[in-house]
Amino acid sequence: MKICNYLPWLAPIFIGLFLAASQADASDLNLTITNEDGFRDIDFGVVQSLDDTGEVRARKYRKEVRIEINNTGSDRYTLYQQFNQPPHSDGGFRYPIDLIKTTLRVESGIGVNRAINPISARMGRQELYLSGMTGEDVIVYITYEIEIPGLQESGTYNTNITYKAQSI
Amino acid sequence: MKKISMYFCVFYLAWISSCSAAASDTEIVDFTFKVKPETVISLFGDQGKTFLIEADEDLNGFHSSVLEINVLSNTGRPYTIVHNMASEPTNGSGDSIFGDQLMFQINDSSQKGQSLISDPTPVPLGPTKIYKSHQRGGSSWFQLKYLVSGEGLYYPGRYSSYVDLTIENM
Repeated sequence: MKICNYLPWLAPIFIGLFLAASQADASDLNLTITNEDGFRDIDFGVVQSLDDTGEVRARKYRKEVRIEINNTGSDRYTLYQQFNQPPHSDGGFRYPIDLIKTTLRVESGIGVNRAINPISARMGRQELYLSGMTGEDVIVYITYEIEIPGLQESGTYNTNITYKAQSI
Repeated sequence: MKKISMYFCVFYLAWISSCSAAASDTEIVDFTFKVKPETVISLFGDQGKTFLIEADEDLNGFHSSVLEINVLSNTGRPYTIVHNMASEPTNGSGDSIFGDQLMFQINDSSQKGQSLISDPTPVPLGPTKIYKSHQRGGSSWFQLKYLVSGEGLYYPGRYSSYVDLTIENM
């Protein structure tokens, strides 16, 4: 059999694959995350739940991260965060995840800010930003405020956040 | 006709695959804070940190004064409270109160810890453990009662001494 006999079959397959590949390449999203100290991770350092004078009161601490989203395509996209577990200490103590508040500020870009007012963290996806209709690039600043309850057990508390930008 | 439907299927599949190839990017960031360990002891007497036992009129029987002790701790670790009277209470002339004339007792507690002086006990000189916290530490509150007997005192006057209360991790 000559290869010419297969051409009518093969041609649309190649054209289809080419279209799929070119379409995928056309929209590429890139997240760049830096915190105010120039690193990626969000580290509040040492916080207090009791001071050396014996005063017990809740204290608040803040950290800010900068997220830049570059979109080579024109699809609308969404940015969400996901806490993968509540913060827990090396000694096995838990920190109430809803005491973490997230606020988002749009530095440049047009879109819908879903966290213009502080929202309490929870497990699962939380949409923070929805781009304009044509998926313009954006720079946002996310502020995390943690409230340390009086007498929260000492220790190093850790969790992680997944950020995802996804076209819709 | 067969060829046309095959073309349609292939293009349709290609279109579906292009649509489902939604662009995305994911980053994972650590989120950390360190809560500083603190244990703080506070004393409340009838005159702040100074307490006074008056036995001017009646030298018979015991006269008492109560010191409230409050411990706040976020370490989650057990501790003991150590009482240290460095010297016997003396008056200006060098006369002292000692032995059964000066006793102490933990009168009431927050039930979380354990009193080591539940009954009236002569106050010893030097470090003595008087209270043991809960196994997981935490905060404690109790009353430390001092009892003074005037019996056997030949010289009236103001007798005084210093007491240190310290926290030791177990």
